[in-house]
Amino acid sequence: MQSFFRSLVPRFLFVFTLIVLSQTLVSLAGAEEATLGTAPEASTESPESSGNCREVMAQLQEQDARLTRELRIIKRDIAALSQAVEEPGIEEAVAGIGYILGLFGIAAFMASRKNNRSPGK
Amino acid sequence: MHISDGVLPTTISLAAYAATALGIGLSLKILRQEDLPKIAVVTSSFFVASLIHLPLGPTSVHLLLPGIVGALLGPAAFLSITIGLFLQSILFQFGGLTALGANAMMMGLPALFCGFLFRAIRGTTLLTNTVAGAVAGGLGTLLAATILAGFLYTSGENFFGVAKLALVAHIPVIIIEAAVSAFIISFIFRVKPEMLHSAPRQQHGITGHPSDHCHD
Repeated sequence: MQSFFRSLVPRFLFVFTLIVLSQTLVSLAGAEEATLGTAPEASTESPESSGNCREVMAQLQEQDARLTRELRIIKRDIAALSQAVEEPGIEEAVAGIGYILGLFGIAAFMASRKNNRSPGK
Repeated sequence: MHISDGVLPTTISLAAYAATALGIGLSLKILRQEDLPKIAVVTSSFFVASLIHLPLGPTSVHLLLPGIVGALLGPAAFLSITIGLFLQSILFQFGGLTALGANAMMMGLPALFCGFLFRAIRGTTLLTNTVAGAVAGGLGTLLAATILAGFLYTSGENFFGVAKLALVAHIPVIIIEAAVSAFIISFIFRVKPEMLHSAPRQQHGITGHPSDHCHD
């Protein structure tokens, strides 16, 4: 029985040390993996990201040019529209003709009334 | 060819208003009832004619028609033109209300003059009537441009400079106007010649309109 205990203690110690060692190893490996994982990423990303940047820049410039073009068209449209709004159109012409005919209609009515009344009196 | 608000001195504007009122008064005095529809139609045409822009090189011109209005209406042209200009200034923002008197003078005086001239020189044939119409139409615009220069002279401009500018700018208008007037007069002479002789009363006996004899 004592011999069993005597043999158990070193075995326990052995297992304990094994566990501790494995844990440190795992943590080390993980750290190493992490460093290994980031380092190559950074080294391969820098040219790729600068290419990306150039692409984005070109896209932005293209978009800018397109928007400028469209804005110029819209500005021209607005100028034409405001000119068209300011310019008298068919409505004003018809309104004026209506005024004139109405005015002369009233004048003719008054004149006819005066003419009709004068012979009667 | 419209004078805008604030260009002329106040005294000139007021004087032009007074002269216009006088002209309208005279027009109303000689106005006859049978002429009312004709005056209405001619006024409407005058009112709308300024909207018809004819493209001319880089710019565009529009008809003024004082000559033809005078030729068709005689002394009543002044009333017609004032009404037309008033509505133009209200509806089209052509010229200003304070300058309405001056604008009416600018168009009305040539109309009166051209009316008298047209009646004096038009003969009895189609050709003489057409030529008289062309002369009246062209001269109306010419006189209007001259009066414009005269009005601008009162606002401190150089008379001959403005006159030259106005005349040069209106040379195409004068030509177009003469052509349009000749066309209108020749057309009316062919289809409704009695429309051309209205003002002198003794001519109604010649045309033989029964309604003319019973007129008061």
